[in-house]
Amino acid sequence: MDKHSFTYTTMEYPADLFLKWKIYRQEKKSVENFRVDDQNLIQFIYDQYANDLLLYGMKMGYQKEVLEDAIHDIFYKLCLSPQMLKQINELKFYLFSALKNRLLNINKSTARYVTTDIPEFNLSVKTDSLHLLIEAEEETRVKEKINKLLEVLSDKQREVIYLRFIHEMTYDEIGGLLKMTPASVKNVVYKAINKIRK
Amino acid sequence: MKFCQYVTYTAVDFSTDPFFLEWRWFQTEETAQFWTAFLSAHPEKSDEILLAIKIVALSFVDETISFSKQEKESAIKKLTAKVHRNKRRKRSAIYSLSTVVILVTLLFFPFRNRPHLLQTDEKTFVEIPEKEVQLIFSTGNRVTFNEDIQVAYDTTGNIVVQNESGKMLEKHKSDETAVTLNRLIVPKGKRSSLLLADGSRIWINSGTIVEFPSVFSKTDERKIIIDGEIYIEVEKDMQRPFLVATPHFEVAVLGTKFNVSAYSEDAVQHVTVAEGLVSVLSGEEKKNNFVKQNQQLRMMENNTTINNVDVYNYTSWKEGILRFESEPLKNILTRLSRYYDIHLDYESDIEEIRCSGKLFLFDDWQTVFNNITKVSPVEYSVTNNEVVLRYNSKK
Repeated sequence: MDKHSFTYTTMEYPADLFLKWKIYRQEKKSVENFRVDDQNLIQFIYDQYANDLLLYGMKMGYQKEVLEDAIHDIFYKLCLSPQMLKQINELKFYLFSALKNRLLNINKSTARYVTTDIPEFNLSVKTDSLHLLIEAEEETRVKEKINKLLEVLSDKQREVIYLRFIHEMTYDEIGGLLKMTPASVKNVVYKAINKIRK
Repeated sequence: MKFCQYVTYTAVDFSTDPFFLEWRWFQTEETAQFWTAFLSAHPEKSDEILLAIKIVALSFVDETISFSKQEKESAIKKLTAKVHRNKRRKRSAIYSLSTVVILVTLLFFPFRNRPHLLQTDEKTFVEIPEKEVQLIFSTGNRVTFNEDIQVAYDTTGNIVVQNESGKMLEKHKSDETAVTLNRLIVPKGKRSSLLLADGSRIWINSGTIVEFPSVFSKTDERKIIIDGEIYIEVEKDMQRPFLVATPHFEVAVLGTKFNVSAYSEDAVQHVTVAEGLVSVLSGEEKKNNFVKQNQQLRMMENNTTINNVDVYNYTSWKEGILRFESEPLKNILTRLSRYYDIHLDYESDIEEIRCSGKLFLFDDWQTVFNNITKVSPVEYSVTNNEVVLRYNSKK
């Protein structure tokens, strides 16, 4: 063994397929051309977003098994009509709202048997990754303080923080997801700000 | 105005301050203006604020909830199968034949293509057939040495190269603005050490490539890339995590001492922690494993295990000693072959013989092999620049 070569991967997921899709969407090539790529693309999107969708669903208070099925359904729909990808502008927003609608439908179909609780939006500080930045005592301090602030807020306010801050969605997109006008989303934000300033 | 109240704040204070959180969470104009103004009035606070921004960003990250690689793969398989069934039902008999062909390709295509997807940032590095230690600067200049060296960077990026006995061999002013990394290549049969600009110290074992910047960025993580084995003592810096990237995993730490063995040609790779705590990110999922003091994480294909070990067995090589307990002979021979740069030839019947003991690597290789034949039922002979080991049942 006198030859020695090595490869490494970066932390980031490569986005070139994604880029290809964006270019494709702009150029609107024929569906035949897109076919094989489609399957790859859907797999890529699954890899990329499945965890985001799972986390969002968990925060809304759903079980992992329910979410797994719901996510499966969304992607099944996408596989059956991949030309839909051509029309989607903001993929993350599309997937989030598809998940929400799907979960609502699941709720409706099981409502006969289960007493429906108002789902809570659980947003709280996790300390798993903070240890890389700060000491353990500081970690617990951050956790306690931020969680205390979040407790004051309503579920809707927490959800807006989650979508705005973690997923960098616009007020329009958040409005679309929460079935509210962008103006009332802003209102929710101002009320939240007033609450945490106190 | 309000500025004075924040002057004594630490990063943790900032990250729990409602007004600061308002800025991070909602990005309102009022808060954005305030904090930019605060930063320009108190530039000495910029480090604390940058750290606080990172804390807030990471605070909602939850790595415990995620789909595993297997779960994702089986979900995709289920999905493809379901699409397959659906399409077959719809199409006519003749047409369905072609669909099957397409779908079979679809079924295999994603999995065949997978590694390609993940390795777009692939770099193929130079060969190391050389017998000399090479230092390649970010400028492309190359210096070679035919003895073990000690390389030291000071905080301004000046480089001093000495040999084992402390004789100065090379002095170099590096280009601080360079984006590309320096590369230190230590071939089989050689060892070296490296003192990085941040004060972290690295011992480099034979057959290893290390890539590192002359000066680390003031704000970002400190990152080096290796293929091979190193022992590293990381200088503590709470604001800049230290990352050791290998072909199969990454190790993230703040300030600890640990050994990484990650030869890309080895089946087993391991991280052994002598002091502190490290986090090892591996696989496509970047699954996170914490490894504590006196623990070792071993990775074989996709299986990772964490065990308590005697750390000295894995770090003693830097002192020229190889100590092992009930170790398969195969592993010991691989290490010796690298250490002395000799080619070994042996049958698989001796691979699993377990040995315990201590070898002094500063002895010449004949002495070391004589010692091995004393403690285990093998004998050796030299033919055509190769050392041939054979099972000897008489012992």
